[in-house]
Amino acid sequence: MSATRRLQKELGDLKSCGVKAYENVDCEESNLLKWTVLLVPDKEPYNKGAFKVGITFPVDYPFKPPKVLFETKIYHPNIDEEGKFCLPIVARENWKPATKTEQVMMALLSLINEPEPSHPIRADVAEEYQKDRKKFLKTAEEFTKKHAEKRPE
Amino acid sequence: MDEVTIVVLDKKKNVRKNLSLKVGNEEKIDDLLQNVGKLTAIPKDELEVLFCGKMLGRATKIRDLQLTPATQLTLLRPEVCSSQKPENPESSTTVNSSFYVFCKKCDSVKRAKLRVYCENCQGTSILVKNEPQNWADVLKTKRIRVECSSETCVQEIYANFRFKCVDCNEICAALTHARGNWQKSECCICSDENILVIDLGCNHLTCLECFKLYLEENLENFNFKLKPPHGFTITCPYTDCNRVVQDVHHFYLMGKSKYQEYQKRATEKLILQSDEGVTCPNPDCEKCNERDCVCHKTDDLTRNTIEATTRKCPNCQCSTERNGGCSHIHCTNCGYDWCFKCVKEWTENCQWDHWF
Repeated sequence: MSATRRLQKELGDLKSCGVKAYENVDCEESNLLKWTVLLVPDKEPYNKGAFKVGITFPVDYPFKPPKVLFETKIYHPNIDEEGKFCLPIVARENWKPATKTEQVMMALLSLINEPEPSHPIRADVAEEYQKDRKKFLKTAEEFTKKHAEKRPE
Repeated sequence: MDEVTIVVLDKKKNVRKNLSLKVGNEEKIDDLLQNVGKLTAIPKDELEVLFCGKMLGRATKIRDLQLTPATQLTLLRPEVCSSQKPENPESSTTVNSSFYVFCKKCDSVKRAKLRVYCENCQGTSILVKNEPQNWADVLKTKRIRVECSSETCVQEIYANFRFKCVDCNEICAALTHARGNWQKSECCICSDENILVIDLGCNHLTCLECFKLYLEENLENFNFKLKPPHGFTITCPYTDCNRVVQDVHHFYLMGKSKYQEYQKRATEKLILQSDEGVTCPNPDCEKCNERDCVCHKTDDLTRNTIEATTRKCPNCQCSTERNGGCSHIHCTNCGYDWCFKCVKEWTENCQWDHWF
């Protein structure tokens, strides 16, 4: 099977799924292997903006996982300054070819909404999240307002 | 018209006759008995046909038996002519089933026929006392009892089952996870509807082509995990499903040569998982059995570097380098979760104190 056929189907399903939180999907006109998705979290402190995520699919997708990277800066214990994060569902050693991009987006949204300070990638932010939640919320909200994309109407 | 070998066991007169008979595919067992009757002067109603451990119904079509020149049909004339009710001449027996195998001779997945033999004399003149109900009944020995017509087999005898390729008659390993897609479900990877699928028992169906690609991808990085008693195997391709391939013969779906590569790498990994296992840096060297071979000496510089830059997984002793991220190590070799700081199992305390 070809990556293109599966991606076309996934793209169609995602665009018509009606889930506002990740409905906004775009792919490069000439390259179905590069997508951007606008994630719209609904929990504080990230519900003041939207976050652009870049997805690069390998040519042998879905037998190899996609690479997912935040293009919008985010202040989060599990996402680093370069937009990288640890998500078991897309980790190479855990990847299952039946996993759909929609499931990856759902997992990513739940990571944004519910940080996991037990597996931090930014120790300073995780510590602040654990020990001074008020300060964390304030910083993260300011960060969101400054860097995040506008939420779609 | 095909020639079939027929053994007539006349228990009434205590004689045994071997016949070779031309049988048409469209003929029925009843026609065959009539022909045998003409040759042997035994009334056809006194004969029973034994095949695949069963007594065949008179209306069974020869075609459905998938006979080959190597097949032998047994006709039994009991000692005491059965006073049982005469059998309904319309009854037919099915011996045909949808089994799939990997045929090494054809180097591909094939449909198979199930054949049954006496474990003692390997003969086919037998009658099973009860029908196999599941895979274990046919794959394991001493599960199904048989009555064998051979004089030498008097005690308790069990059946031996064999799967044979329908095209070349080669004895093959059964693919217990392969089945027809009778509920017409979509493949969980490509969404196509294929007639033949792999189901690991969880009802997540994958078409053969996608399953093959999934196996090949796992072979590339050797992502097979040791799961006794199945050996090095992989899980269902469905998200979060932990069912595993229970019989490594399924890895033949990649073809013979890739299966051999799988075997080689599984063996190497097993050796490396044991404390003293080392792989030879020069596998073609003939001195390997001698003590002075390079394999028996360790390069000090290499060892020093490995010792200085890595810590050993507390579960499998695999040398592990941490090149970033938090202290929580998930061992890709054995799956153990451990703390790089304590070099012990990952605990809640590590979660709080050993982020970096």
